[in-house]
Amino acid sequence: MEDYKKTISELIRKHMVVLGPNIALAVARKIPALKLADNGDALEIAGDPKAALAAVADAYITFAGEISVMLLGSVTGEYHGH
Amino acid sequence: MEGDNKTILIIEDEPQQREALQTAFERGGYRVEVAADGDEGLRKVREHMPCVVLLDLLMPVLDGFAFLEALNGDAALKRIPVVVLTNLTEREKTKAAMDPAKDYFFTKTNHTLEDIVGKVKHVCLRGDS
Amino acid sequence: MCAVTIAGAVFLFGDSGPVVIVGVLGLAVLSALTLWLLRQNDAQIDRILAAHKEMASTLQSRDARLNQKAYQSAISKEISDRISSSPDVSETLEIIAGSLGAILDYSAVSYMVLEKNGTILFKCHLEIAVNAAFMESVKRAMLDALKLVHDASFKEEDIKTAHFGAMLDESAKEPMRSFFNVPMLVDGALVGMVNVASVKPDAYGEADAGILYGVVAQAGVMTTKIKHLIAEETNKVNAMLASISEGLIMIGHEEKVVIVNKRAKEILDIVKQDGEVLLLDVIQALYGKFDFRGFADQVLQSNKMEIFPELLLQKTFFKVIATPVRDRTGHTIGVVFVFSDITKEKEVDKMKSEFISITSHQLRTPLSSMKWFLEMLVNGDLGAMTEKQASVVLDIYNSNERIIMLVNDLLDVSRMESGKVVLEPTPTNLADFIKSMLPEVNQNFVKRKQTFEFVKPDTLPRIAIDPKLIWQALANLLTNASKYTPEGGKIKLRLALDAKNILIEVSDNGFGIPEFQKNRIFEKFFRADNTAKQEGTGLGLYIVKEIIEASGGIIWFESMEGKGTTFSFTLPLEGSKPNKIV
Repeated sequence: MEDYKKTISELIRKHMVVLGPNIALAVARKIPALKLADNGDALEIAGDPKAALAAVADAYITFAGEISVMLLGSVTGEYHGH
Repeated sequence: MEGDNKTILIIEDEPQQREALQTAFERGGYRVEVAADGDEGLRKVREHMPCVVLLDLLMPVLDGFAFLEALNGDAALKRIPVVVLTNLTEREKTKAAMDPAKDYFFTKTNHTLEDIVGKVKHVCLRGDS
Repeated sequence: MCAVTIAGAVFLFGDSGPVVIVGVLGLAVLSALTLWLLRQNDAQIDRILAAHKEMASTLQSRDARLNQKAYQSAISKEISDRISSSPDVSETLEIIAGSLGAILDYSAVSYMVLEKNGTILFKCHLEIAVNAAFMESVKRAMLDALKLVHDASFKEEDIKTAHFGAMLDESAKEPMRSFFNVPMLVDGALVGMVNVASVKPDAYGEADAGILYGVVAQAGVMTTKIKHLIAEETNKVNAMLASISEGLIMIGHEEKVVIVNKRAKEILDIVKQDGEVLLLDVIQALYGKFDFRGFADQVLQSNKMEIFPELLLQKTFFKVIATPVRDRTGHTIGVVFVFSDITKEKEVDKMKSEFISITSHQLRTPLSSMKWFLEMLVNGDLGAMTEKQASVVLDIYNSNERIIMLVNDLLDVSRMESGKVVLEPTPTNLADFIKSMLPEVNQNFVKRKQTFEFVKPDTLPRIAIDPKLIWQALANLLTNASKYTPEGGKIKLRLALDAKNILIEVSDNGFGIPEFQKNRIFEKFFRADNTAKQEGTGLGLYIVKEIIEASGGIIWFESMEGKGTTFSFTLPLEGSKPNKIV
């Protein structure tokens, strides 16, 4: 669970830098399962964390296209090994 | 007599043509020396110092071109006029080896023996002065 | 569907321990999604636009919605027009930035372009006066985003800043309170970014940003497509160039070597491991053998193809053909040089020459023997002959003469056709020259008891012609005139001068040329019906025409059967150029 929160937070934060904080948060806030802080941190995930990550990633990609794919890649690539 | 018994040298490898020319010139009053190739020709030129050389081009041992070069390159010989008699169309190549001041070029098939004897008379006379 | 792909990634995620797979996942997801996206660019854009349409439809004002639609179509059209003619990123971003005023309210719109040399162009359009700190915030926001995506650091000196519109005013105190960035990607790489910033807080929502994202994404896709198209075409051309057997070099603007194919490099022996081939390299390779630059200038000046017939490079002979290259509008954009190996041709040429040379000699040797012996017989040098014998021998002699003439003509034609006959012009006084040569043909007139008249102007300028060839032509015409005029007839040779040419006329009052055969007179082997069957080869006039035309003149005739014929030809006052008769 914690890893997912970290990943999601990271994703949102990166989008805040790129998209601008307002819009990034607005997009992420549309995911009902997520409870977010104003700085983008994922405070709580309701239900399946996998689904939540998928949903927020999808929402960003739908909104911003390729750039989000790149950001998603950079986020998930950051955690190496155990 | 026309030729005044002057010596001319005929360098021609084809026996029939050599014979025809020799007959024509002897009738014309010239002393005729003959050679069958350029090498023999050079020897005879030195030996007899003719007043004109009739030269064929295509010959064995030493051909006409080489003969011309040797002749015109030799201080003692280069004043001797040469009448090139040939059936080749190599005018350009020959011209390079000839000395325009004294040498002549005739295509055999285009001139009768009479023409040639006449031309030689003209050349030989000139050579006198 | 995006979800499926994500599900796939998540699936991987769920299979083994999360931490291990995350590393692999990163790569897998990135590549899979990137690939998927690239393949479905249009679908993606449509989806983004559709999603935003949804958002847009929630907007209150119908006008705002229409405005956005209009904006989108207008800007999309403009961008696509511009991109297809010049996919320049900064131009594209400039258009986009410039157009945003239609739908967004902002304090500043800026864009950054990542140039190839590593610098960043940062342009900021200020709608209202702001202070330096504001602009700095914008710059920061963009750089932060760039760093995130591009993964490189930028030094301050790498950034070139420019701002337009309103002034920087330190008294303007408002800071940047909201912004959003739209990065532009081409071919999967970041090339630039647009930033919209405002002093107002929460100025921008999803809908606003969404439109812009759609437009920029579309621009990115289009530019990518065009880049690929260009790359594809370039590859095709390169493949073609690599495969042709001739050496090809094209020089474009500012003397840049635009094209140089492998064969050209081989021919010129230019070995360049890396780096481009420069004009200097080419000039050096051809130094002393071929003035490359000079020749290019010549082509540009004459604006047509020029040929350099023979160039020896590394023991091989080449023909160089240079021609101007024009773009669609007809402007000359460069010169292309083709180096063509003519070794084979030269060999064939050599064989032809040798053949002609040998054949002429072989044919003529027996002919000249026969000629002289027959001469001796006829002259009685080999003893007296009976009248009958003498008559026969004379016939044989004449036949032999005819064969000799035929061989001469054949050889002339053969040499002309092989380009062996070279015109050697030299300044000649035509009148004097002709006078000196007339004795050669006078025999004919005397024999046939014909009168001959030579008319010429008092003075005639010297012109550059090849005298021996011109005499060959003229002698032919004079001999023909005599031949085809009955005994006692009249032949006249007239020279005249006009503004551009010397005119030469040979006229006779002979048999003339039959009407229906006039157009074939200059054909090879053609003989008019009323000519004596025994003489003539049919090649004479063909040769005459070739000589006159190669000398720069024209030839024609007038004739009436039973009355006479006049052949006329001109020779240009400006003279003949040295060339081959072909």
